[in-house]
Amino acid sequence: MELILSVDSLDVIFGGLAALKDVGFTIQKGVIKSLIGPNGAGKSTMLNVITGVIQSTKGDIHFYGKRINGLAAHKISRLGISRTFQHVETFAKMSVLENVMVGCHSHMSANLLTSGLSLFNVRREEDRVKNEALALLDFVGLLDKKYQEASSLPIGEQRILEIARALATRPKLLCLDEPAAGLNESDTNQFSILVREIKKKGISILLIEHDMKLVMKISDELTVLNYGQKIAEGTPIEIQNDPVVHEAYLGG
Amino acid sequence: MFHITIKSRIVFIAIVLICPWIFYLIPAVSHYLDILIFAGIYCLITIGLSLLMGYAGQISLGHAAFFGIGAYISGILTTKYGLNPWVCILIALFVSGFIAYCIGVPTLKLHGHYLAMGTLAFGIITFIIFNEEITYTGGPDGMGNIKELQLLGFPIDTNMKYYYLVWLTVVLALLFSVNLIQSRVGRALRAIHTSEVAASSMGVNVAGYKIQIFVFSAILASISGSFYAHYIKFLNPTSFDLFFSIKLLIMIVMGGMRSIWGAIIGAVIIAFLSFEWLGAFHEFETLAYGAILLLVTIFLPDGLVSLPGKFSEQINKYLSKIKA
Repeated sequence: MELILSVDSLDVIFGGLAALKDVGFTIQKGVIKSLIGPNGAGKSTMLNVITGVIQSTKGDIHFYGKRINGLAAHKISRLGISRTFQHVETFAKMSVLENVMVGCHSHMSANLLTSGLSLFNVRREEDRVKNEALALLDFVGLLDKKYQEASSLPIGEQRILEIARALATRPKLLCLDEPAAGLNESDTNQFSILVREIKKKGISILLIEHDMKLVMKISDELTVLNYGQKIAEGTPIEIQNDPVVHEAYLGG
Repeated sequence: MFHITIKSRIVFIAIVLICPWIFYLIPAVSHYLDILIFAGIYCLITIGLSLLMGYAGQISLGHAAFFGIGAYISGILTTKYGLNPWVCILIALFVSGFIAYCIGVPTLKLHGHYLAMGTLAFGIITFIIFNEEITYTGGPDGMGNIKELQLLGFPIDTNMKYYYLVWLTVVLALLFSVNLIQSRVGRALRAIHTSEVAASSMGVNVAGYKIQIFVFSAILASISGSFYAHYIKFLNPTSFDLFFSIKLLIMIVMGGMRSIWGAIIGAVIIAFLSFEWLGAFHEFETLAYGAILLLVTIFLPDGLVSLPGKFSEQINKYLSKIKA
């Protein structure tokens, strides 16, 4: 299997507090990798560092062999890492369709001048992207809501919209930050089907999630963090039987 | 609200073309033409500001400075150096754009109140320069003798001609901006407005777009300033002070920040208020603006453009009540 992301001895220190300490893991192509751990373990911090929202203090992150530490978030996105947010960050006052079209930003070329003049190739590109966005909305099942304002959707659908928007960037790695939070059981089932569909497209997934039933069901591999350090790694079955993990979650 | 139909654009152009003749034919309001020229000059600035503030969500309290830079460069280069006024407009536009770029790179890293303070400081510094550089700007005494514009050898010497020059430029700026809003760039700007972190995670170069739109709005303000100089033919620093920046703000807030039409409506209404309707207030004029700003933000946070929508909503409510 092809290695796409590798994190090596990564430190993130805020003030004097180490949010992540000497953490390392890898993600292969087409794999669903889950990052789990108790609250405050550093999962979201890890995701923010990978996507360029937070800068690391020490260590390396390589994506397809290219070191991406310190790159601006939009450049990392263009390399093929996309994400959703723990607290939904849809573009509230834009339509569902426009939200997804923002995701297409990187593979468009219109600039301020050509857009303002509405040149022929700009309009053609606009049509292409609109169709692409519609296809993605169809894929996630939000097609009939395409002209609604994003903020008018229930939270579960906004999370799905964030996934469609992230897919629009044509990612090779999709990072999902607690995508099932606030979903009811049938939504969660829908979601796990969607994640498998995404996996079938050959997109790797880095998942942060508290719903253990879901995590164990859809993950190929897990990495467990506690107090900013990696305490275990393995398949769902290995993790379920790991005494150190039990200690972290239940003991202390 | 964001989708602007072809029909509304055609209606707008038709109004722009017909309007002056109505005023021209009715002697009692013939001086409205003069006010409409000022309104058009304001529109050029507010269209840019609407993109910057309403769409991209970046506040500027320094746009009077770019307006002033355009006006003074046109004024100084044509009177003191005898350059072709159109060349001067171009030079002014490049200088303003360049200054906006230099100012924008550091200040647009700021957010909210800090950005307001940063641009405010820039506006005040520029105002002081206009006041103190007496050899070039004439200082507080002002500078006069600015010549009228000529187009292909024909002088633009009547209000009617100047009206069409200014308002056709407004139409071009508006069409350009409308295209912009409904494109990749417009979506990126609106995305930045709601969530910078989400926008950048979608591949939008947040800093880059903020600067581009800041420069674009400065260029529009500069063209507006050049037109102002050639129309009024006399420049005085007080036209470019902090209060004018705030007045611009009132225009787009009153018209409606989230719509490009709001910029036009606000500019036209404020022009009429300041040159005609608020004349009776004399030095209490500022007070009236304060009251307007207050009332609009409380009762019509989306500005006057939201009025027809709210009105029809009320009527529908009333009708459904009758039916029930």
